[in-house]
Amino acid sequence: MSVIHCGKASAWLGRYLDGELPWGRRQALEEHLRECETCSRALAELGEMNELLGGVAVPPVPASLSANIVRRARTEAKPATAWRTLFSGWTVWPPARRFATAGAILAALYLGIVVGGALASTRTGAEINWLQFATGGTIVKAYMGVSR
Amino acid sequence: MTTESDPALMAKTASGDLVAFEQLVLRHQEKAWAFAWRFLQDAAEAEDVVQEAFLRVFRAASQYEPTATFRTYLFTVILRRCLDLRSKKRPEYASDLPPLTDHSASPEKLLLEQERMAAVSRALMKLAPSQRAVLLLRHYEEMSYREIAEVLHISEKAVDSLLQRARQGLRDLLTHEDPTIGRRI
Repeated sequence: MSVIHCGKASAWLGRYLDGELPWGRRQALEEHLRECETCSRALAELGEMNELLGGVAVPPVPASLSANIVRRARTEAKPATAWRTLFSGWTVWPPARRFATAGAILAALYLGIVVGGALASTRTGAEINWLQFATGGTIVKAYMGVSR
Repeated sequence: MTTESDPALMAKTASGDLVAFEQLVLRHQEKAWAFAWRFLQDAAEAEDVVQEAFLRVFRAASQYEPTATFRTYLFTVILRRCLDLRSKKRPEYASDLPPLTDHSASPEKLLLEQERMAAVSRALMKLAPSQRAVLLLRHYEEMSYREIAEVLHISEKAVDSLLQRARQGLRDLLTHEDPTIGRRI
């Protein structure tokens, strides 16, 4: 008398056919299959479907596939080399080095904003003066005046 | 071709060695192409997917950690690109299936086999993308349930039930589409 019923057996058939069923279950299923014609037929049908899938052919690999991939990789690699060299291995840097680098970048950004802001405020006055050169009051004329 | 392992070639690729990258491409392009073609059944799209997938691998080479096999990693990337492409587009069915090459068979038998193959291809394309993916990974790539689970980011148990649904779905579709095939399985 089989220790498993058809419901369990049919759920295991795919794994059995794929060689993925653990040994104990495999034994139980094989015992069931010896006694159950329905499940044996289902197993045979599953095997035939696998054969059908095997018949689906694929066109050959395009001749230029690998060459195109490598060509594109080469194109991408060139401009990135300097940047990549500078920051290569960021993920494996020691934390102190990472913090120092991040701090330096932030400091540079801060300085850029502060200095840039200061320069911009002084330039605003100059720009107002430049506009006074303009005769007629348009921006283009102002520019022409400054250019002269 | 080199006998270096995939992780070794990936490490060299990460340091900018394009020869190592080319070796990886040559080693895996056939499988990658076959999977993409079977999933999409469109040569131009499959070629695009394979190119983009390898380039993504190239770009991310420095972050690669060989916790899973390179093949599993590559197929994860390919499948994601295939799914992205399919989610943007309605499925189309292959009209340019490669011819059978069994010269010993009679013309009638060849024609019948060709029709049967086309029916299986159409049925595959009608399956839900996850079901199609699991069938392709199991039947053509011969991946274990564990490897498929890694590629699809699901449990082995989920792979099992997905495969069962996929096989049942394929069988129903084939029976519905072509009774001669339905009778055969």
